[in-house]
Amino acid sequence: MSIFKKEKGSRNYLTNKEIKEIAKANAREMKRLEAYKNRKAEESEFLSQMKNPENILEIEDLHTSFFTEQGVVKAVNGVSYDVPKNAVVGVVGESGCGKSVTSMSVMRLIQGPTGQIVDGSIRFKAYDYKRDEKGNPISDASGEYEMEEKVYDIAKMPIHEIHRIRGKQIAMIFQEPMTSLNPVFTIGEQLDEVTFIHTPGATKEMAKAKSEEMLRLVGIIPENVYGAFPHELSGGMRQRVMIAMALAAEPRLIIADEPTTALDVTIQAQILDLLQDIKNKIDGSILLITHDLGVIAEMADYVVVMYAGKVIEKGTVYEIFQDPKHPYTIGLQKSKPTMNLDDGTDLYNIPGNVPNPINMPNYCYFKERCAMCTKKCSGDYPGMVQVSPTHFVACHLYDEENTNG
Amino acid sequence: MADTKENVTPVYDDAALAAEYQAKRQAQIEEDFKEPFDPECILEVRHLRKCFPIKKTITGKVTRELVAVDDVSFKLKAGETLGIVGESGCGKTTTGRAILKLHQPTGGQIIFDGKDITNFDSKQMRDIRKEMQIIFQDPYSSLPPRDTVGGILSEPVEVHNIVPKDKVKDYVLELMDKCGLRDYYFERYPHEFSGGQRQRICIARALSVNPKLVICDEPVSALDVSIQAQIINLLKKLQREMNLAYVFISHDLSVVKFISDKILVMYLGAVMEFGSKEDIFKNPLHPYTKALFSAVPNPDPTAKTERIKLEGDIPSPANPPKGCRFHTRCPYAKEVCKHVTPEYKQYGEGHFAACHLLDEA
Repeated sequence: MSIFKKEKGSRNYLTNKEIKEIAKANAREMKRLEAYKNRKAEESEFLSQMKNPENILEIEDLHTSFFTEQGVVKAVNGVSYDVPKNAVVGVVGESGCGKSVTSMSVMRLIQGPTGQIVDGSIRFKAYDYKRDEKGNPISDASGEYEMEEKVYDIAKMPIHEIHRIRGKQIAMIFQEPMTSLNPVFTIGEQLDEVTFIHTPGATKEMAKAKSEEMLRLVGIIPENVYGAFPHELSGGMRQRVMIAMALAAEPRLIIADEPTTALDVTIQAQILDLLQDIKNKIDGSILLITHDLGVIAEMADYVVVMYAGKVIEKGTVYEIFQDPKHPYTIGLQKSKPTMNLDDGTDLYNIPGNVPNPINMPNYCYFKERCAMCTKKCSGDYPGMVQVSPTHFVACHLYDEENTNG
Repeated sequence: MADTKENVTPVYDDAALAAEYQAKRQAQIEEDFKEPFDPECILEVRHLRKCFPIKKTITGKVTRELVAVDDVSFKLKAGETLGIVGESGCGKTTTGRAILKLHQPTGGQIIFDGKDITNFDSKQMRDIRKEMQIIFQDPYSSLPPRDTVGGILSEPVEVHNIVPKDKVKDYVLELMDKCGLRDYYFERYPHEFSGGQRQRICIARALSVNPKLVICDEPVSALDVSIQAQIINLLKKLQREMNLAYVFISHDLSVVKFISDKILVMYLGAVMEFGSKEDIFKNPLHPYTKALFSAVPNPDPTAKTERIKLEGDIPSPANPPKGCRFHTRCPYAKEVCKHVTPEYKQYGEGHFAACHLLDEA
């Protein structure tokens, strides 16, 4: 028996009966979703239309869940945001807020069967081969392939069709350049592979030329690196190789998932400059995921702030940094010690922790940590309120403004 | 002849210069070692050097060494914070560990609380250990998973006889309260806590023996921004209450700026610049310090700072460049920088730097 009082109603274990119930429900749901993921489908089933033709990616009401033994973790719980053409969209949030899971959902890299996209749509404007009924690319008499613009709904795509997009149309740069390169192949072999997979009829010479071109683009002299193994390179160089690999298939969207977190500040500055430079060269968009507000401010055009699996605020970079609306965004910016900060006694800090992702409350998830809480906050989860044409916030504080104005 | 001589770039004899530099430094070190200890300082480090063997012959003779820390000196008073900044591999963590004698220093002196502890054996160190503690970077791997929070915090108290045995529990509960941990956490295990809470446990453990000096080795790097602020505030509060001296090791310049009184900038094992926070941030002298500060992304989209770009990577510490270590990446490097090691000199009250460019100005 504990002599210490426990929090009322808190029981930090599950009974056997509860565990069995959870397992049963999970198994049923996972089986259904796995079957949906592995189904055979005609192309027309996952073709869609963009809401705004200016966008390249539209995520709408996405739900991604993990069916764990303790219960369902709604890692992404109704996330919607757009990536316009030729723009850098930055996603910020603390660890566990679902920013990476959203991007993994776009790439369909969520580890099944526990992780599943449950609901929602991810529309992506692809520039793909014209395909026949069996899904093979159509080539004309001279062996040239015809291309056309199509809008795919990635969330509805069967998993074996994803190679049309993954790596080719959308490329990803991962956080850990140390672990995302294969240690037993040379840099050249790994780069060539991209061309072999995504360009039909590619030859060895073609692939090598392409790889060397890409290495030059990221500021590496190919002669030194093409034949090298990953362990011979430094962290910054490896990240450059990762970027070269992402670019090799000429993607329309690059997802950079914490691309500079594992690097030193001076190397980070180099990589950020490189990304900015490359965006202009390749005529594509970047979805930049990071927890560093400084990186977002320097790189992004649009910012999406996430908290506990939901988008709580989105807008242009100026709106988010100069006129933040959500108490969490405000707190986050105040709690970061900046280089220009003069001596204050204490840093502002947001009290408490992120709520447990298994039993999310019905009211605003930020209520317990919020300093500007009102009576209304105990009610339903706040909906998105539009404060300006591009600025949206999910907070009850701005409900009135909306109804009055 | 005389006219042309001035235009010809001077020829540097690297070996002779290195020998001269070594002799000069040796004399300086011997002179400094004779100086009496500063009674005001809790910690004084003089010419600290730590080498790791990387190649040995079959008889065990070391043929190649990696100089992880080369000639680091500073003084720290009670209640002050020294921030050590630098990129990975610059020797900041090794410095911290050498001060605690977790690594036996190869050379130099460590004077803690008026005692020269450099050559203390493990028995003598045991009494000193409770005076100097460390907080590690990763709160996930630095707590024993099979012990409760109460057990983790009671053990050092019992080992060092801080309070009588029957009062240990009350003492620990008071300590937990001070560190923002609730009393019912006493019987819980580390895996039940989030990163921020675990770091609080680590801090409580370090403070349980009433230390005078705490080495904070990247204590907030593994935490989220909002949790980071909580931990930094906690460290500051505890410093005020217990008059602690901190050595705060971090690669995050904004955090170091917030918490430190003095700052030591390191690059490839050597000190580039040392001074008070005001000196270092308002009037940085060394080009590396300037470049480091300008590389930090500014969370203000309207501010467009002029960036000093550093090309290339950090050279391998096993084979550091000759002359000034920074010359391979320095945008202002001159011929002299490639051959002559710059002297570590004072430029203003308590502000030291090692750069040839400063001598010319």
